[in-house]
Amino acid sequence: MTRLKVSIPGPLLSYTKQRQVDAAGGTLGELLQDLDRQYPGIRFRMVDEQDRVRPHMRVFINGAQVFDLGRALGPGDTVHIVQALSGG
Amino acid sequence: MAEEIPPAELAALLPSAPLLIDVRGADEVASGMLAGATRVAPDAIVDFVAGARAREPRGVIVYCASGKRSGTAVARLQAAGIEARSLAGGFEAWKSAGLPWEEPAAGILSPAQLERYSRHIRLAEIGLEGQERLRQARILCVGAGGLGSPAALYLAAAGIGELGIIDGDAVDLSNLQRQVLHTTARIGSPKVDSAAITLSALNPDVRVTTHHVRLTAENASALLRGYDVIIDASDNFDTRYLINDVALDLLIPVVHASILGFEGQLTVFSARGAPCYRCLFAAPPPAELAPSCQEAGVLGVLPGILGTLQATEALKLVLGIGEPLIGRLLVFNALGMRFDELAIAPDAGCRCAIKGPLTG
Repeated sequence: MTRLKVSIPGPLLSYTKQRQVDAAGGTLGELLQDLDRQYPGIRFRMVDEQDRVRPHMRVFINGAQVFDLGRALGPGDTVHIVQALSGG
Repeated sequence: MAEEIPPAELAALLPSAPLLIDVRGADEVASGMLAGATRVAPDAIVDFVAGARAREPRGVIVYCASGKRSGTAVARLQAAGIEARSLAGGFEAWKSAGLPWEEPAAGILSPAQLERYSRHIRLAEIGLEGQERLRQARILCVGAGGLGSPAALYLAAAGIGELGIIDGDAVDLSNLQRQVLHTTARIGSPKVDSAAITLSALNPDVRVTTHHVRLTAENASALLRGYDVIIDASDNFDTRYLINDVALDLLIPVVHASILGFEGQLTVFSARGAPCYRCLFAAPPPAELAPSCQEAGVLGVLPGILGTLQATEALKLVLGIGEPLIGRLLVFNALGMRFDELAIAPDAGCRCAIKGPLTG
């Protein structure tokens, strides 16, 4: 299991209270499951019933956009979760 | 048939300061316009005139190049119960009659302008040629709020030739914690009017064109057309998607920023084969999961940071220098004081890809 730092977007801070949290998983899907164990409900804010990343949420691993929850994670990978913001 | 006024009669009427409206496109206006006229898109004219007359009742004169489009605009005003007249023969007849009009300054900067922009001109990447490019540029800022305030201030200071400002709101006391274009004394005034006062005072070289309307699917194309760069400084998803779609059709690059709390996002949509806003976020969040700054709060200085970054990218696009933030999303967090750069993946199924990549 790889333990990684995950950046949480502002609108999901109500779950984590922290901008950066630790989570573990061999794949992106497992990492999101672990996040959900720690912060119940947060996964469904990011992923829909068909396991697709929601259209207003984006996941980046090492700065590159990832849509596949099966994407393998390695030590040192950084995970960014980004939500569309409207404020101006 | 719309009621007309001959050029000589309008010249005699000008000292009474009628509401003088130019409905030509931004490119036509660049060749000269009547002193004191405001450029308003034909689709926005009823809202604009109704708002302006509510603040100060006065006669309304509309003109275009030949009198045709202004005649249609006047008919539209009359249908809305507003008395107005169209300049017979338009700007061309006015010029032919030898009546005075304002010409944009010649292609050479005046001694005062050379002094004003001397720190720009000294930069190898800008120089005299770059400063002249800025003077010829037209930039539209959608929103005169948190992001639009610093963006417009720096663009005006930089000597952008025409700065368009669209905002349908009025200045509110709760805006002043971050919207630095406005002042306490101007609470209740339309934000575009307040913006025009501040920007013109900062740099009288800049032609500030104001539109006191909300951007809609009906008026967006007319309002955006003719600009070189659009600053998306809006505050809602509907407007952001509308700007993206219309700017793509018109091939105008958009400098996008959005903020909430202590967090901001910045990117550039080039409209030319690179990812667009829909590639980044295919759809907005459901309303209940998308808090606004009004609901969730925002650090006052945050839009200051993102808005000045927008101005930076807009200037780079006009000047054709550096590496614009195309296909890259900059995510800023003020509490961690971190900037992270993320790569936006083009969406092959997106309308911007279906239209086909363009070059140049």
